[in-house]
Amino acid sequence: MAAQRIDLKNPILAAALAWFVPGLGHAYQGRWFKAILYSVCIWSTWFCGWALGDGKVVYYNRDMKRGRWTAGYAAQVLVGAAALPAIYQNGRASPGGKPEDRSQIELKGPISGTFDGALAGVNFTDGRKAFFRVRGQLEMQPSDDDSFRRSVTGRFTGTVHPTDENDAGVADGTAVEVSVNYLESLEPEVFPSAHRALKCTVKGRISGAKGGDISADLRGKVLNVRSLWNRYAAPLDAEGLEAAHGDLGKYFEIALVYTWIAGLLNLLAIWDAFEGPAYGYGDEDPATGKRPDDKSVPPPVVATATPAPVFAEPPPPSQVSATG
Amino acid sequence: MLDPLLAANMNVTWWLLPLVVTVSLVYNATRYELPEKILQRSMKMAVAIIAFMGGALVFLFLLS
Repeated sequence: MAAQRIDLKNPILAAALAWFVPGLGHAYQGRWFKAILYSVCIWSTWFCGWALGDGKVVYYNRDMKRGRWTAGYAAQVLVGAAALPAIYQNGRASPGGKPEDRSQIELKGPISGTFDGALAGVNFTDGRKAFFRVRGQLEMQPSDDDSFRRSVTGRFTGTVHPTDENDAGVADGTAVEVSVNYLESLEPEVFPSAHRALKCTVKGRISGAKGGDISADLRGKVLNVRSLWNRYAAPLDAEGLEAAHGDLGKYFEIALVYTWIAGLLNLLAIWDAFEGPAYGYGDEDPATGKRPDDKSVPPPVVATATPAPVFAEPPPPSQVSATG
Repeated sequence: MLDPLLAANMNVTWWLLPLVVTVSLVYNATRYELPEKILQRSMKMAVAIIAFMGGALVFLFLLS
């Protein structure tokens, strides 16, 4: 047995370490080549998938109300420490055992940063309608007004970039300044993206435009406002999953497969840490299965004749007659 | 995130190659202990997988 030639130390501890951090179990056993090989292969596959999926493919989403859960996570969690935060993040994102509805999520504190998005359904006071791409600075905070639960106050200042089809007579790069008054939709705080999407109603003015007073929907993302703690291994809600498929296309699936395969490969590595290599050390003679340092002579094979069947001799006739 | 331009110009089949290499290495590392034996068997296995997939690709290409 190859395991007899390898000091597996405490196999259960080695297997646990191999699960928790790929390669660590073999390092504990002093099998350095395998420790490096497993860690490089499994970690690179894992992070390749993670990066390819824009950090959105490793998550555990359990909807207690509908009885659904992310089955692919069963393969991902075999990588151990890198996937475990997903369970905790699911609890943070779904406090009631169900993902939050974006139209019900409230703004809990101020949010500000560079905003990239669109002014949709723009209504000018003279009746013109338009749609503009916008980029600028957004500052928003919860309103003190208790009459509407989702009231917010804030301001967006930036520039508008009309589309070719509908410029409404507004030049590209025209300044816009609007005040925010009602939050229609907000992405969860725990979500696998650095940017936070929102949609709100606004009123304000586009500088220099004829009939420049407007009301519109401001929709888009505040860039780089989510901390790593709030986005690592965080679950996707239904809208987020749809958007991720739209943004990443087939690469979302490829990224998922990479992370699954990384986990499944680590399952093999865990078993290797527990039991040793399956076929042998690797230097055995293919014909005899012996190690190179094994000088023992195998016992000679002696051909033996098949022994004749032994039958009990029949009793003599005198005994037969006496008993009969 | 992946560069969209790179992604658009890259055939998804190429993403198979790193997987073939890692799967071959890890699988054979669980079979043997000697590094030379692991590398030798991994190379054979990777070539066999690529040859098989290449054959399947050619077969499907001819069918289509």
